[in-house]
Amino acid sequence: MMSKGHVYTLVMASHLKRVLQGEMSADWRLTFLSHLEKMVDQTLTPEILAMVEPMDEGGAELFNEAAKLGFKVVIEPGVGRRPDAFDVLYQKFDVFAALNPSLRRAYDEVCRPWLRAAS
Amino acid sequence: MANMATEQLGALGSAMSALTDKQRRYVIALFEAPKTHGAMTFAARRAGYGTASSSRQSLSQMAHQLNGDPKIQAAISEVSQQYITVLGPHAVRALKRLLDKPDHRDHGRALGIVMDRVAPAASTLTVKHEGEVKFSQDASVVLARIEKLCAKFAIPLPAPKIIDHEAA
Repeated sequence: MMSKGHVYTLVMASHLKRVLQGEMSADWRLTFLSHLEKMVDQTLTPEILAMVEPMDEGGAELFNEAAKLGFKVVIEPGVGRRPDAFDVLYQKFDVFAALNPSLRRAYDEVCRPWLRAAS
Repeated sequence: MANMATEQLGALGSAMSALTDKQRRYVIALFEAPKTHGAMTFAARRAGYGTASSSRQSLSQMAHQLNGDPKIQAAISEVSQQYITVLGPHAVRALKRLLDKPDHRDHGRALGIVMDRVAPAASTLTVKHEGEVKFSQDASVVLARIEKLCAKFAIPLPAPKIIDHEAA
């Protein structure tokens, strides 16, 4: 199992790769690539992130809907933390993966050592 | 002189042809008005607008309405251009007469007008502009880093823009 943070980071990486397909200045391209580099850790290695393919039109539409919730943590008094865009990216990972099978492959690749150890 | 010029205008242009006879008379009369003040009222009366008993004020209103018509405006513009062309020789003759009178107070000015056109004064202006362009990072370093990161995360770089078969 992957953590929630790693799951939505995979979706974010897919979206970032889509953004990088567009035209932009070299400075902006480097900025986005730097964001992608910051996603790297012991779980999401560069090889895993390299497996993720850019999000397609349908995924981008879904992502934009989720983004309407915002990416900041908002605590409402008496209610608790309000769901944000990251929650949607995590909860709808299966939908994103259906639209972009590379997400599922990356997910499975991350989980493979644990599954092997468990079996 | 105005009447003479009107005769020299020759065939009507397209804008004038688009007008009714009355409107056409109005446009021509504008250029034949004896003085600037009241020229529009004069032209309206000359063209046949109003009645013999029409006041200056009502004729003035009619003239204003006529002047607001885009077709009339186009015709005025067209006839003005023709007038300027036709009046050219008159202006040159007047200038020549002035040049022939050295004691005339505007003789020097006439001379200046002619000289400006015959041998215009030329001047050269050299503008030196100094500036400094700063880049946040060396472009080659940025591009090299981009390529490295793109390779690391398997991101295909978009195809370069091609302008006239050459990379932009």
